[in-house]
Amino acid sequence: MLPADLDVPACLARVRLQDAEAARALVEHLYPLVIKIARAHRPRRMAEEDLAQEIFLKMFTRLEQYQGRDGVPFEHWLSRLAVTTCLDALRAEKRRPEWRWADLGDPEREWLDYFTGETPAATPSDALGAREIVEKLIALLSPDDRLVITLLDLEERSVAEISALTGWGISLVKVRAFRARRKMRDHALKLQKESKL
Amino acid sequence: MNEFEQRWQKGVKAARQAAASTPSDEAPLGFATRVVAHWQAQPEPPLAWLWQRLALRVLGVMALILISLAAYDAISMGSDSALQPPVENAVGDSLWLL
Repeated sequence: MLPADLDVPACLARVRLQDAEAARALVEHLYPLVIKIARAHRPRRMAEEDLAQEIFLKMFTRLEQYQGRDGVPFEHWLSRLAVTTCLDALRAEKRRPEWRWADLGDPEREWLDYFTGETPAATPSDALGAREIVEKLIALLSPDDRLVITLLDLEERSVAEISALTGWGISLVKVRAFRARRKMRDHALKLQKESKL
Repeated sequence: MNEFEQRWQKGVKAARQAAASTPSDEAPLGFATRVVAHWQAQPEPPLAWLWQRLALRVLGVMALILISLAAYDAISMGSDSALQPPVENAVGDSLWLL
């Protein structure tokens, strides 16, 4: 949650006049919002703080593009900028990780068996194992698919919210999510096949 | 929803519970100062970049003017009597037929 004690429009006006004190106050005020997005969508090899810094630098250099006339709160504009910056960072990642059956711990294997229907319907109980296997399967996706699934499934955002954040149409978001889940199922089946070799 | 999706949603729900203990959202000490110093150390945008932005805006305005002129021209051409056969020709043709 953002602290409510900063008058953002007044602060922005001072930042536009190159006021360093106002700029620092703005960064501190918006840090929780930015770090959450950076943490959820950063590439594996990039520190979340570095990504947050990149987002803030973009915010300052593109500040003149934000007019605030359409009633769009500054936080919404910044969230969109943060998401596109993360997406660019994910796209710039040279290689996506490759997981093998041997890389998985027992709780992760249990969840993988559950996802593929290898085990009966009883849901495994290890939440941390679920977190790890879910993150591993998501990491195998392309940057766009990864972004959609993280926003939709892990952050529980609505399709309309994702559409506003990314600039993609509602149907594109739905199609991407559908295809991404199918790809994850294929990855899960492939990983599981390794266990039988 | 297929079986994978149902099971995936249960896995995701468990994963969300595991993520409850996230690190602090407070900005680390000196982070804001560092970011602002980087921002202020950035060079001014080069003249070529400013020129390019100005040129793009001018191009947009010119395109808009061109399109509106073309539209005006098309509308006024529709009501232009100069392209329609003159009345006297029609009268002459009718007389000739008689």
